[in-house]
Amino acid sequence: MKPSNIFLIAIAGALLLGLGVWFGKAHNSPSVNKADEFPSATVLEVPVPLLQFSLSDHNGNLFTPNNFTGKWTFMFFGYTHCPDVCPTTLVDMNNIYHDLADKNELTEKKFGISTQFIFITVDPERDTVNELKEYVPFFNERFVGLTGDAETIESIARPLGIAYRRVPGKNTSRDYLVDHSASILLIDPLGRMRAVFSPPHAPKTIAADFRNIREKYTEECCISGDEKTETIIFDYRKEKK
Amino acid sequence: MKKTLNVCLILILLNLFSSAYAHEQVSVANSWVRSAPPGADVLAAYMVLKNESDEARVLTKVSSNMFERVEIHKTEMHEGMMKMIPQDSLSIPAGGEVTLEPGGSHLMLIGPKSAPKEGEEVDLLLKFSNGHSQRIKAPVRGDKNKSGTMEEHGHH
Repeated sequence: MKPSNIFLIAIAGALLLGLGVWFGKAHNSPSVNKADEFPSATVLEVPVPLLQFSLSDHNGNLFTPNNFTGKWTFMFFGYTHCPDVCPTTLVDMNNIYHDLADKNELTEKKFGISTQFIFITVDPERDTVNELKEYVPFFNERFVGLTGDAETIESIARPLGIAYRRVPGKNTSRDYLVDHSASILLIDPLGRMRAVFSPPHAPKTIAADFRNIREKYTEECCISGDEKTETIIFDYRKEKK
Repeated sequence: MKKTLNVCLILILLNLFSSAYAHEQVSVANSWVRSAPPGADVLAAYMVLKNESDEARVLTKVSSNMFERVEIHKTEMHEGMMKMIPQDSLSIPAGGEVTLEPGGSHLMLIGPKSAPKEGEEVDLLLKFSNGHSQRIKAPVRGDKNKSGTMEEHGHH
């Protein structure tokens, strides 16, 4: 069977699954149960794959979707000239990190899947690699800051439901603010958005929900032919390119 | 002797007057500035403003000798985005209080003359519409954990 056929079947499967979920929702309205299952998260039954991109991390290293593979990733879009929301969210992410790290749970036990934390700037004009290098590790030395060209960042953000907009400042052309979505996204070990944590964030609840999401979905990503799924996703990315 | 007595009386009167006067004003509690990376050119200050008088008090201007300027901001969710909205003033109702806190209202401190470090204090001058002004010192520190998560820092 040609890879493109496998791909079509996968898409059809995904659509059917989605339809099933939709019908399930429409008929028994289990959304209340869902909310109980993961109080801080909206979990996507059909995860959204990230398309191919290349960005730079705060040390100047290349960062592509391959860097998501084999890890669970908390990801937040913000900017460094942001005095309130971004530091608040990064501190929340640091609390999530420590909730896991203190119990030695950053790495999932069954498959050895680790967890990473990423900050992507929505203001690449001001947030250069050097700016991010000063900013991101201040909150946690293990956190990774990403920047790149404005179009690339927009092409990553929009399909994930992350909106942002520049608001002119009072004085100079350089003191603008950026309105932006403040959700923390959870990317699965195949580089697909699996859940969204909307603000205001409660780190303990998010960490607890993450453990449950990880428990429920890691296996699907990491065994039983998921190398196949992975190949499909990466072929799909190549085709898009 | 008489002179000393007079000075004492004046001091006592002044003391009485100032404490009575204080009740007419706004008291500031739990003020702090969130510590920021060394290169940060904006910081945020938070506090609780308590109005002990029986008239509304309006904070109209804040300045600091350590920053180019200070703005009163409110963070709001708008069309799914977090938006900082500059405010011309901040009203504290009679007998009430207003809390400036992360993710809500805050003072945006713009253009630090030198990056304030954790443990230092930031001088802030608060001016109110009744002509009163008040100088406070806000310590620079990291975030405390949110309530209910204090135990996280109990062990190492």
